[in-house]
Amino acid sequence: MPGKETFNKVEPTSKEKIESPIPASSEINPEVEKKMTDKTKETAETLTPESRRFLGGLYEKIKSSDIVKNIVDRHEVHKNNKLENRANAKIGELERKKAMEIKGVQDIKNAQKESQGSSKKIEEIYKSMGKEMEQAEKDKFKSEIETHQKLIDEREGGAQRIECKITDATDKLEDYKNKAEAARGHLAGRLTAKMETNNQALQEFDGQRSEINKNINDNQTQIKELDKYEAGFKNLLSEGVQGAAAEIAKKNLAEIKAKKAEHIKNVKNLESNQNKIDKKIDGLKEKNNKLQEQHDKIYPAKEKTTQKQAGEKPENYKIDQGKVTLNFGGGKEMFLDSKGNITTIGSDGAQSTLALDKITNEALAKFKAVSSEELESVGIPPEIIERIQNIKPEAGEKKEFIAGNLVAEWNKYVKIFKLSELQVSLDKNSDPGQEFGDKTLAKEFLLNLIAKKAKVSKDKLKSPITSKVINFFNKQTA
Amino acid sequence: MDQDQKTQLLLSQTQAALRHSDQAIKNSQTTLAKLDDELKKIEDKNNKAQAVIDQEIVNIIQDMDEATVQFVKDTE
Repeated sequence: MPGKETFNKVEPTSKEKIESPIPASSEINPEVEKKMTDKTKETAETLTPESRRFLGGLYEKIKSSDIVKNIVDRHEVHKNNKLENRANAKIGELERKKAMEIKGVQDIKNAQKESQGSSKKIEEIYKSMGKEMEQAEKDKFKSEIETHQKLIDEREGGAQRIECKITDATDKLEDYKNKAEAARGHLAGRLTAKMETNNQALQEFDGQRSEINKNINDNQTQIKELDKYEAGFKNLLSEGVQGAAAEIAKKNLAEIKAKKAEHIKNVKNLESNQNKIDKKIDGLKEKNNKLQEQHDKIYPAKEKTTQKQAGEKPENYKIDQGKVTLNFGGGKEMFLDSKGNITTIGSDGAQSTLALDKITNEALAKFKAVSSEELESVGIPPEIIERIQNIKPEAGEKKEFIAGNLVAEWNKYVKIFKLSELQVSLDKNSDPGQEFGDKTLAKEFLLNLIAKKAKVSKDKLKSPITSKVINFFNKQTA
Repeated sequence: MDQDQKTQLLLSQTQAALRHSDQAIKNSQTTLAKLDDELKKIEDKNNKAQAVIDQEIVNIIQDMDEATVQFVKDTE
């Protein structure tokens, strides 16, 4: 809180004393005091017992020192009306004092006027008698008027000093309210940032889950395949083959059985790990639900719908020197600067910046409407432009695969991983405009191009390559 | 196709299937071997980012606590 001046101590009125919500014996909660800065503790130590009790009352609800868990309760302390009421009571008291001073000034002015009137009357009486007022008497009236003037000056000065205190108190109340409102925006922003960070982790867990799922499917496919050959050998034996053929059949059956057992063990292990990931995903989703609840308590949904008109998607954008600014309406803006940082200014004026290494694809996706040329023109780092270009479409949006684009996107994708040897090109006979109805056909097309380049059949492509293709399509369509 | 040919075909198909099996098993084991590390990396990264934001929340609250105590002092 800026400014060092404090107000004159004013005793609470009898009404305030009766209605005071301050518990008689409460002090500042030690759990709260534990997390106060040294400066705050020092200030708290200089408070009067009544003020400490008042603070104690404000913080009464908070029972633990964990600020992050108490974020809503703490915020409610700072926005508590009792603080404003207390300031208004002081301002009201000062107003009353000022009014008394002004009335006092008026009373003295009246007395002074009376003295001046008396002096004038006596002087006229003397004049009518052909005499002059004696100097001593003149001096007496002069001294009386001067005394009055001195009192007037003093009390007018007093009223001015009180007026300054009122202005100061009003300014401090406004400052405090502004600071609490800004803190509200910042807290809401930080809670959103926590959810966004969790969402990023969720996305990554989901990627791992997909990988596990692919492995489960592969193992199950192999089990089915082996079942087929197991049946074939059993059939051979049932047909009564003898000698070497029977031995071969038995040996292969044993091998198939062992391999199936390995697959089953693998599937169980993979499923158990998938459950482990699912628990982590559920845990993070639950955390986000709680964060959303906290966020909504700080910024109630009703308030958001009535006051905040900012949309999720940018309405328009402008290119400035060194930055691209997106306008979401309702006062919300987001800009990407040439250092690769993204700064968001909320409808509430709260500002938060994500540094280059912390930027999520979700944030970058907002800039998809801006062309690469425009991004380049303001000096946005090439790696950021590339990330924007590679961002998958939003959930629910149908991804269309067109041969030419697919090859270009795949080549960009593998280049990021420095796997240029996996880059492919369309056959002379291929139509760059060929559309694929779904991901599966597009995947087959790409796998064939890679296999052709590697001069192997599609089935012989190594697993790291096929995994890369699967991840590529997951990124494209998730 | 006589019995021998059938057996030979079945044998070669089975051997090919077993090779695919080996590959699938190997891939699964590779995935599982790196999984814990991958999950830990994700969690560590998230925990670190959350801790940074938590500290920002603490700073905001501490600033407001400071302003509140000062305000109470100012309104004595």
